[in-house]
Amino acid sequence: MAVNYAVKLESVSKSYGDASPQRIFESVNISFHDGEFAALKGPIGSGKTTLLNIIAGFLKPNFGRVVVKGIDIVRMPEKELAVFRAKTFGIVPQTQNLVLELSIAQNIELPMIFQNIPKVERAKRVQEILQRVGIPKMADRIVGTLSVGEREVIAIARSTALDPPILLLDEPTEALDPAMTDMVVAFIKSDHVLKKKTVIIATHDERVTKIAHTIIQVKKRMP
Amino acid sequence: MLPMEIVIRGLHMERSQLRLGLIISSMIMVNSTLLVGSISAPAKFAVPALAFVFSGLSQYYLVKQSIERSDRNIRVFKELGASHSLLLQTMFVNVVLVGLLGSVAGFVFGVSALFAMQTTSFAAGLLENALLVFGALAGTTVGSYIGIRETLAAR
Repeated sequence: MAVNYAVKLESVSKSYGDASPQRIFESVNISFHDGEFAALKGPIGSGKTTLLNIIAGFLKPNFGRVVVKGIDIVRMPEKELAVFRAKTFGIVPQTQNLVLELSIAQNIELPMIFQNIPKVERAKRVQEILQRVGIPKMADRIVGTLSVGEREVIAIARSTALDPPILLLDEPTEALDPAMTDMVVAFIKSDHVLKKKTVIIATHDERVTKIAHTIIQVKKRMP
Repeated sequence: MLPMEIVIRGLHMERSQLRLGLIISSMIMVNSTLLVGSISAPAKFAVPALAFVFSGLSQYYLVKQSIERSDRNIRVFKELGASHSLLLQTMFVNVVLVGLLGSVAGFVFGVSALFAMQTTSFAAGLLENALLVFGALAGTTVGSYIGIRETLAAR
């Protein structure tokens, strides 16, 4: 049976800097099939975040192809890529990307506003997501007043707002206490199982890696 | 949401900025008050003018904070796939229209209080300056908060 790939990296090389380039990856070939749950493990600075950013199209590789859902995104025009990214990926970066001035519900609503989803549908989806993360009564709380862990939960919840087929999560449980970690892991797992999403997650957390199908060890390159 | 609730929520998030702004402007005010205390009586009218000039620094700090906050939000909007026109619209309303105008309104409020009180005592100077910074901070915070909310509410 033919395997459908969600993401395929073909001979990808990436380095930073021009004068004395720091090589992060050289000719990397990795593929993630539809519905796969993959964990990226490796020391700090090994390139896990770079890899996620290349997959999301935030960073361009120096060489190689990044094929997402059958489309090479490396040469895709920026405007087109932004739309493709919003519809294809739910992204939780390492640095939280929430609007602190807005409420929890408004933050979850943001990606839907940008995709012109009607207001009634947005309100319905926000309620569903809040129910799933167990905070339906906190909808109006302003994000700037939440703890770092609570914000992380909101960022993860928001990444599913457009029901994207692929989730890219960068150390999502790093700032969480054990109870919150269990809740987040259960949320990600249910999204993965029920909706057959592909999950690619950079993590050191054993509770996350033990539910992954694949663990990819990212090694730090020696200079 | 009630306007007062917006103000309280906005200020709640800006406590660290408020503290720093007050420290900076208090130091400036001490210096300018001491300077004025050492000059002759006819020149004492310079108190409001000096406070106006020096307080511009804390005002600059507050506006800079407002712009940095806006930059952060724009980055988030971009990552979430906002269109270029919405980004421009948000930037314009947030920083240019409401943020800066709000900040200027607060500044004018503070300076007006300063002129109205017409005093050269040290304690009154601190109070005036605190009013000025508070006004500017409230203007900037509430301005950018309303700016971003209203831009999105229109969608």
